[in-house]
Amino acid sequence: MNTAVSSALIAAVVAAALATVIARFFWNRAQRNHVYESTMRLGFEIPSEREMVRFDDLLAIVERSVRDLRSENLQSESAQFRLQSALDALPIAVMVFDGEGSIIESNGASQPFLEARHGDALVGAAVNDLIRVANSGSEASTVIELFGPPRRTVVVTTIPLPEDGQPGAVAFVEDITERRQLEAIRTDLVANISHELKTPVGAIGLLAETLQGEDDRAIVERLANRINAEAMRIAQIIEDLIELSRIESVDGAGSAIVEMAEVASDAVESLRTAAIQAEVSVQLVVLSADTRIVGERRQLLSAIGNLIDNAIKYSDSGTVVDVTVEAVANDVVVKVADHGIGIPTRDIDRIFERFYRVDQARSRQTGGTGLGLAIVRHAVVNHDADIDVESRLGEGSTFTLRFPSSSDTSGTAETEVSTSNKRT
Amino acid sequence: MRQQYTSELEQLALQVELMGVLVDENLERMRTVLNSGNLSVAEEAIRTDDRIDAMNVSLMERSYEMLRREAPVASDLRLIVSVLRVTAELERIGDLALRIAKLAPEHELLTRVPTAFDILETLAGHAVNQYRDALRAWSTLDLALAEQVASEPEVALASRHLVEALLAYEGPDAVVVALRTMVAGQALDRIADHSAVLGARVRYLITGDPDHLAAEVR
Amino acid sequence: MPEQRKTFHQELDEIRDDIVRLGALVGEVIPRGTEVLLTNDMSGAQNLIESDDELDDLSLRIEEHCYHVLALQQPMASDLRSIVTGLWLTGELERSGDLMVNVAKGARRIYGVTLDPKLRGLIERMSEEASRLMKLALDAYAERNASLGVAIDDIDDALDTLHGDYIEAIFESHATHDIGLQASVQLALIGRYYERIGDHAVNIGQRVQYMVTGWLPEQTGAARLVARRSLAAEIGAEVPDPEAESGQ
Repeated sequence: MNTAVSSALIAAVVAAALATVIARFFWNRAQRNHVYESTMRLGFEIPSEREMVRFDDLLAIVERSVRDLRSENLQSESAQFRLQSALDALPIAVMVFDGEGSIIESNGASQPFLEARHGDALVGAAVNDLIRVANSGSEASTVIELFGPPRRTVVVTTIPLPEDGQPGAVAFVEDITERRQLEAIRTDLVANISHELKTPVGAIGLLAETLQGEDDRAIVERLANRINAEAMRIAQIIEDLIELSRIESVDGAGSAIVEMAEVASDAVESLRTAAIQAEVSVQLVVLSADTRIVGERRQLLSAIGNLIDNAIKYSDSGTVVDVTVEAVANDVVVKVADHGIGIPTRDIDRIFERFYRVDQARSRQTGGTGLGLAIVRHAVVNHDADIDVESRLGEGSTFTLRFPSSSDTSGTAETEVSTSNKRT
Repeated sequence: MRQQYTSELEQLALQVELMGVLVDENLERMRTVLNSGNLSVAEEAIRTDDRIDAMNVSLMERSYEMLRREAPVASDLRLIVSVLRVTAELERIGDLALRIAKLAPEHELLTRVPTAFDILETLAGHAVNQYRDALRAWSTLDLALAEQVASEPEVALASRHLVEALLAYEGPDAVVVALRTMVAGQALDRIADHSAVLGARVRYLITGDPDHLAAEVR
Repeated sequence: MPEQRKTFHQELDEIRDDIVRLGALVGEVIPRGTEVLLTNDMSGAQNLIESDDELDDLSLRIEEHCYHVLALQQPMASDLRSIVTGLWLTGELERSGDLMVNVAKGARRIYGVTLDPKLRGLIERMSEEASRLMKLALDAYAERNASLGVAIDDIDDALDTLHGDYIEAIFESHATHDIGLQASVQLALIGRYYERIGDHAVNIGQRVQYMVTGWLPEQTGAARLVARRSLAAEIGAEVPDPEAESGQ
């Protein structure tokens, strides 16, 4: 068979396959956009907004190329080239198989699944299995949960090619991990807000009801104390919510020169009583003379204070919380390290979500509002800084904040524009 | 030519049995060491293990040579592949016996908790019996015996009692005592385990039923 | 003739792909079982136990495939080694999968017991270490990397150390009455399962070394020479030269 004709044939096959599924992708995309938008409304950043736009453009190119190829220009090299480039740039793996189940075409995103190992090998195997189904005439789809690490969720879909053309089938592999995570953030948030707010309010109602029929002074005293404690808890949540929305509403971090060592020292001082009560010793070490950065003192105090507060809460009595402030290269680095219970690996990515709780039962005892780390994160974003968490269950956690120092003038100009949270 | 091939196959099976006897001797030494901590017996076990390893290598090469030269089919193929699999199990059992023999200098730790020590001895007796049955099944091609060894219930219960006994001990060296004892207990456990696999291998060798391959791991 | 060679190598490739797939299933079941254990997920435990059938089926299929290839083809020395290595690896992988089934069963037995963070952390780390070893072993196999295969034995030391710390932590938790006797026993058994997965990974590494070089770790100079001499004397044959064989 002549190569030009065979490549045209393959292009036709791919085109036919794509036409069948493009509608599905547009539907997926619409759904995903909905999730992105509603998540954004809730005050979360979208990690890959730019990529999403790129994805849409690519799909449009693919669609147009498919139309071109189908109408008349089967041999049109430019249409084929455009199609291949667009396919290669798609974040979805596209593989076309012949009737025997041998692969005849694949795009860039498919490469990890060909001759793969570990988790990807299972995806590759699922593709092969489902292609057999598609080659016998029916569509097939499966969701694969991979424990990794990293944890991933991928969808494998295979579709038979239209009967009038070459026998064969096409397979798609889409990684829906991020979408799943956004959905989880959204549903958990609603549940968590209602849990955090309803629980104390419900408790106050019940306690007050019990109080009405009670004569015993000692019991009355105890009930009143508990009502008071619950009211304080709500007050604290409201205070944190206000602080959080204030920090959120500020664009950037202001332009004052702030001495980080001083902020840390004030934060430690303000938590002295809490530390004494928990029998935890907080030790501040400043390793550099110049720890100045550009920003807003109040936000920074709130962020560092929340980190130390958490460290104290999740430490065992008799242990030490180490706070260090140090200038490293062009950064000012603040570390808060505890020797407490630590964070499970699977939760680390989610602790900065508002009201996210690693352990619901324990958080009631420790009395946090579930907003502390959300406040930290927003303050960090406003300061164009980095945050990094290292944690081991049973050994403790270390939060590392990395701010551009005030002497690094190039950084200050960027603060206005860039709100990306990670500078990796 | 054919004649030589058949006698070579017989030789191969016999050699496996000889290797099995060496392993058996080392299991007996392991038991002596477990009982008394006798250092010279432990050294002897280490020397014997070198011979076991050497036999494993020689048997493997012979099996390969025959696979390559004769391209055997059906039951001959099963026999040769079984030799390869069985010698691997024998070698592993030898290693596990050695692991216990090497505890000889620390033997005192093993006796610290009397109930745990009793359980170790029971486990050792069970493991050695299992092994001997498996070896006998191999040399006599006794299907019933192979079945029995292959389906011997797990000894997990005894190991559970072992850990219980260790946890009840409150001496200052509790952790190191527990660790050493558990090393020994686990090795004995696994000797019984590998013996069961041996039994399943023999069963497959006799019946050729692929279902018996799958059953091997149960 | 060239046609037949090709199909033979296709069969070898298929066996290799299936073993990689079996290894991937094992690599997945390790973190999965650990999560079941740490989150008290009873239905997850049940699913895991049931999904082991897939692993068993696949290893059975691989083993039969190996027999099929051995019976129908006449492989050369190095191909022969690959096939026999496949048979061995299947056994090691299958048993590793069974060990995670044991972890899931252990999780059911300690249902409702609260583990302190230190124990949880150590379980997490043993699991990570075990699955890292398994992945390295599979990498060594897929890449035919003998030196990586051998190195796994040394890397396994980290898991042994963790296991020691873990046993110590169980004793601490038991001494402070945080966990009862039965739970302590179960946890100790669970720790051993992870340790044994590490052992299997080490075995795989050594088998890979053999597959690539034709040499087993116990084939040290002296032992090897003795074995070969006695073998030669016994069968009245010349000592075959393995280098010449693999060079065919």
